[in-house]
Amino acid sequence: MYAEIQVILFQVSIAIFFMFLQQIEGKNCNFYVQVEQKLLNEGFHRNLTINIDFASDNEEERWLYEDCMVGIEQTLPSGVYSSIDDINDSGCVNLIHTVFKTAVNIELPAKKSEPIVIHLLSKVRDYRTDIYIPVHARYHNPAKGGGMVRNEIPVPKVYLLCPDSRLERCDDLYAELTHPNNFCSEHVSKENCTWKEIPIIMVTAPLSWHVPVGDTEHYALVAGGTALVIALGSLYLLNTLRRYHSLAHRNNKKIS
Amino acid sequence: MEKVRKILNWEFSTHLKIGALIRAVLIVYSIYHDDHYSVSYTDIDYKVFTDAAKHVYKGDSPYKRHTYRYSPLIAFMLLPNVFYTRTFGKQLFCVFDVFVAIALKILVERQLKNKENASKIAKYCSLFWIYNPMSIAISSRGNADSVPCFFVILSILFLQTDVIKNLFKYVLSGIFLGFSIHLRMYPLALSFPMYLSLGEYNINRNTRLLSGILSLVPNRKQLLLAFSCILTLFSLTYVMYAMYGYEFLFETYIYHLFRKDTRHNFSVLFYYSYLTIDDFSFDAVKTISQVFEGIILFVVSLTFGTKQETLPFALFCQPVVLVVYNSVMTSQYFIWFLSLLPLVVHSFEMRISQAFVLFTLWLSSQGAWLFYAYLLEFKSREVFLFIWLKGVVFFCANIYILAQLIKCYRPGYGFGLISKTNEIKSQ
Repeated sequence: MYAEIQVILFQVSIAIFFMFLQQIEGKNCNFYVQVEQKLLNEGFHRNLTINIDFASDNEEERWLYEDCMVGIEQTLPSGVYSSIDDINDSGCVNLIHTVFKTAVNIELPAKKSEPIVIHLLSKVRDYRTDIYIPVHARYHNPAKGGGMVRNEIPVPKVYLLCPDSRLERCDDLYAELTHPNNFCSEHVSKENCTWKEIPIIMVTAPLSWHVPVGDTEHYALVAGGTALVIALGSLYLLNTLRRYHSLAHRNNKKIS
Repeated sequence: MEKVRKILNWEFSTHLKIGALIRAVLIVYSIYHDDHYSVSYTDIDYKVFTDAAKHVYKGDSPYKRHTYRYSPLIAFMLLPNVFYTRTFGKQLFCVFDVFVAIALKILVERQLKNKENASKIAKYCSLFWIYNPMSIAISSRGNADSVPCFFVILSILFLQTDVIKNLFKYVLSGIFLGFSIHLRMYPLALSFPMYLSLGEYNINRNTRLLSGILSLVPNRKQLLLAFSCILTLFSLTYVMYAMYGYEFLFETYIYHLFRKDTRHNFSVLFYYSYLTIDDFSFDAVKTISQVFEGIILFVVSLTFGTKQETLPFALFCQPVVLVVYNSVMTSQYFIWFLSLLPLVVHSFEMRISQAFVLFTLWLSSQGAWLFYAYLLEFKSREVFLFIWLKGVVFFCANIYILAQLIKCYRPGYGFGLISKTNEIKSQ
């Protein structure tokens, strides 16, 4: 009796599973994913925010993103850096994990630095993902005439990892739009990497971050002025010491 | 004025409790502030210390934390940050602040022994540390500089007073000096005047060359001080080197010797360093700066370091000169000389108005620099030349203030609380 019930239950569950499959199979996966990329604050220390909308106003497509993990690959140009310690301290609750694919030296100027690739792991919540990371501008080499130098921040790449191999049940369009990638850790081959890069629609203009640079034409003034000030200040101090010494010597003589 | 006098005359222990309470309140506030504001109250270095302590806790090297450039001892001391509470380090640094105040009180009191009002003068001096906004902020923000400051003061305490009466006091003084040099390199500049103060020099125009040279031969006290200092420094260095290898040597010592930081800071040399960022040829401006710095350190040591009575002033001047001429200057360095200010503040014979003018000059020249640094760092304004000019103003202000302090330095003045007759009698 018990075994019979089990068999019936198994058959019912198989039937439900296939019904579900039929529902999603052949669905259009348009990947109407809109991404906003912004720099908040001013100056050398800012927050880079990435807001992703997974078709929140399209009920036909929303099913695709439920309970998916989101991977964001953000590249920072050589004039900009972030660090794992900064990100951990930033208090961005939506960030589950961060991996720096490039070693970071926060003290180097832009000229001696390389672009940094960061993998940011988050989750789709209410068909959205909103994250931010603190970023800092590096000093650039001074230039003739000074002015500002521009750091161009590339658009992020977005990856998805969904339960039930859901992405693979999309129609042929899926194959055209997604492709193998290297979002997985190094020991996983591209073929076995289950993360899929998806197409995105940028709804914000490309980011440019302007930072001031020194003026090489100031060199003569600054070098000469600095040397002169140091020399004059030092001579004044040495003269004060000499006068104190003479005075103390005279007073000692008087006392003796 | 009467009220202020009344407050000043409270018991020393009451002042200590108030000082500790202010620091405790700020530690609690720092938790709130860091959670609610984008600009953190906690010093960036405190996060570095805590991360380094986490690595040590896991059995790794503290130098796995990028930019950890301190002795591993700081990471060891902050291990409870990992398993107890994240504010442990701040509490510890504030405790060291209180220790510094107590050591300063004992030191000044013993230096002024047999003089009237010695206890009162010593108490007033220590108030310059207890209520110093800089020392309060630095420790409650989690900066570790109160630790080497404490060991420097302990070293001077054993050197200059009779807390211990036999020659062992010079050994203790050397041990604490070596310990402080291990933690921070600046006390190295204090070692020369400290060494000189133990000699007896009777060199004048009539001294013969041989007897002049002989008077420079180190005596027993000097040998004890030097050997105990060197032995402590080398032992600590050896143990840390055995534990963490070349990384320890580089990050703790070598990096600081050859540091070239081109980002904006208080130094008069900042903009020049930035403009010559890729220039590796002979650097005339920096050479001029270093030559003058060396000469001034040497002259200060000879002028004030050769007598026990004026040694505290030499020890105060040395870090001032080091900081003012350094190619990188941040406000945390000010604590190096502010911790020694209480040793000499009672010896400045100046009107309150003059002291106020000098204090205002120091603060306003810093404020002017900070304004332009803010425009650059937080508003991206191209103001490098203005920052340089304000750096020049701050350099001049520091030099002028130091010169004024030298001019009005009267050892034994004691805030004017020691009568001249008493002074002459004791001489």
